[in-house]
Amino acid sequence: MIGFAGVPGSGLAGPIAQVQLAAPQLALWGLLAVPIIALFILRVRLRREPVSTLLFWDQLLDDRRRRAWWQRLRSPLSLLLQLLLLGLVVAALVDPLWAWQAAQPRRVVLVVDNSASMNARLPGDATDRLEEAREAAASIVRSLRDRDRMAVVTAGGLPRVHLGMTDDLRRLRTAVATVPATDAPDQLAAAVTLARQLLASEKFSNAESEIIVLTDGGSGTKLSTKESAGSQEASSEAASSEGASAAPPVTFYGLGRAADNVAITAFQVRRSVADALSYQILVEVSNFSRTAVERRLEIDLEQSPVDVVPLQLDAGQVWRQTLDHTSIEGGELVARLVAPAATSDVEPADSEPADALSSDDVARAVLPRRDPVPVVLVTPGNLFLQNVLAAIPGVALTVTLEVPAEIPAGGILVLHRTVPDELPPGAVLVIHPEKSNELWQIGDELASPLVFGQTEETPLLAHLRLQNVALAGARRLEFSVEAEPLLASPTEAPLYARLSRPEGEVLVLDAELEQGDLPLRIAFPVMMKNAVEWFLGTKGELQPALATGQSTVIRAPAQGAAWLLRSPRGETFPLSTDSDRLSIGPLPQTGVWRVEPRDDRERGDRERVVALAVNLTSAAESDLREASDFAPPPAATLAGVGGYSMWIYLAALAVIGLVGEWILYQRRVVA
Amino acid sequence: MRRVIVTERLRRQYRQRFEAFLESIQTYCRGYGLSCTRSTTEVPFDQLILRMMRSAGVTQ
Repeated sequence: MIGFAGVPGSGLAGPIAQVQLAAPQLALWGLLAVPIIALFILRVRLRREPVSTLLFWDQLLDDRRRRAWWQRLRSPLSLLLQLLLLGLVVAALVDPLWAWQAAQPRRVVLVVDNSASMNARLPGDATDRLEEAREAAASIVRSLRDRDRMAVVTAGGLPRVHLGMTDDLRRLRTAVATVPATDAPDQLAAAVTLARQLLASEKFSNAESEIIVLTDGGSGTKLSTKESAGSQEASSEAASSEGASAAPPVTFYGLGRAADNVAITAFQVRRSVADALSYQILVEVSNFSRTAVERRLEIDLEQSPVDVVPLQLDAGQVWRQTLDHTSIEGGELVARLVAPAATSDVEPADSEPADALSSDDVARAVLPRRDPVPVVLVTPGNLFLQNVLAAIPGVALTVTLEVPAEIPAGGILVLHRTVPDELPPGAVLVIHPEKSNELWQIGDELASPLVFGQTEETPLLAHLRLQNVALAGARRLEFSVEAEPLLASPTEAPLYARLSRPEGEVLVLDAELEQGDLPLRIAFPVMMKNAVEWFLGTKGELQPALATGQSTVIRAPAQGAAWLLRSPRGETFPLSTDSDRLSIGPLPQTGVWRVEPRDDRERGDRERVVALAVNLTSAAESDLREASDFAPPPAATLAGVGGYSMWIYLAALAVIGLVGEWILYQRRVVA
Repeated sequence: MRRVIVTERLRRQYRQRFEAFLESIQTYCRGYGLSCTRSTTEVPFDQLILRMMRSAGVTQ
């Protein structure tokens, strides 16, 4: 119900006092009623015109009298209509305010939580929580008047000003309708801080300022603990404790209902440090449901199935496992949680989601690719050694008689017997050198070339036990650089040693392969494999998957190029190229992001593209069991009748009255 | 005498009906070979008769 009370505090209570006037001085236009009534009373001066007969007047007037009895009321009705018309126009001019418009002007910062949990949608629901927030925000925008100003801030991931302070309702409506969905955790505290900074820059008293937060309140990082306490009063108290003119009131409105959810809360992959082919997958699945559930965890590598794990999870259970697999090829590793009824042949986008939140049912990781290691074997000929090296996974073996001038990039040079005077820079494995050079001097042959001492805790001798193994043909070697003996004879003569030099690591094994039984032992291929992997180091072993909302810094794939970041949806963002390091993030979407050259011609080069896997992996966002404690947005109160200002309705009624008066004018006959 | 207040539209309708009435009188007289003269009521009846007879050549 609407009443008019132009003077606040006039004693009128209840609904009568709910409407105030924004421009009461314009009520003076109501004086136009005086000339309207005067014109009604003062009739037009009549012109006299004699006629010869009344015969036709009777005919004409009788026709009209018979048409309608209410025509006698035409004239007073027209007056009433004109006065009503004037009244409506004047009422629209004085701009009466609904109760929700009374506190004017307002400065509102609308904080919309667009974090990952806002994408949750219960089966059967038409919209997700974010769509509910958009509708509530649109309702709040409709409650604004001309002098009100509003800003929109998003709180998913890094808080952003989606739209600055404006009174343009059209832009505000567009802004709230286009609040983007993200897969990032919420940052409500930072978003409210940003909102306060916006209000502080507006130069208005805090009494007119307000922060409205639309959130599902389901995340542990939200302000539910202290500052908000679910009500405006609590935040006002917090504000008063900080200072008289400190924070404007913060009002929280809750969205969404409690829901069950099962999520992948951790997913990482790394190359095994012990095996060139192996990789390990760390996966954690959490059941944020109130009941036990069944799921199937399907893992694909570049769309080829790798593993399928059936899961039976009790309520609240967390399942964590490390899975070992082998592949020399790298690529995109994808884990999917599938309901048992669904089949893996069905694309996830086409199937019904297994639970309320789908973004945590899929996780990705990038498995570093194992590039073939160029190994150059210089030997007069040894079938055992050649076959052992060729059998090591990931080794591209080249056999030659001549010592190359330089070692291929990232490769290993294996010198069997043949050694130059000066070793080329890089990784070199020397087996039974036939002559001395700058790094060692060859002495007499050992009388007892048995392995007596073995260095523990070195990856070069992992899984090996060589005590009392005879290395036939071994001689006493004296090294001219710092050397770490790995195997030693009873006389402490080094049989297998690691030499440190600035140009690259060198391993020297003194054993004549053609005479002893070392090549026949299982230890020999293990020793060679250990040596190759030790030379390769742990480069590229781990390319960690990031969590949404996380930032990272990577080394640029190449120097002197311009780079861009491509999102999983195909959007591109330029990256700063001030140094060889690229700052990336925070990344708001799950999926595989790619750092690519800006030059289209270089984009096909796989070496110049860096893939970054981004997953939700946030227990706080995935746990939807608790519904929001905050009150739902009171859309009806905020929006008033239809959500528009009262003058719009009055103007519409005036237009209707004008049409009625026009019809009466057209049919008017004064008789 | 009766006094009525009419709108311009009603006055136009009256004129149209009156002209139609006069036209029907003229048509009737022409059809039967009768003489027809229009005059206002301000003209005395005898003078009107004399004027009609003079125009018809009955008297001087």
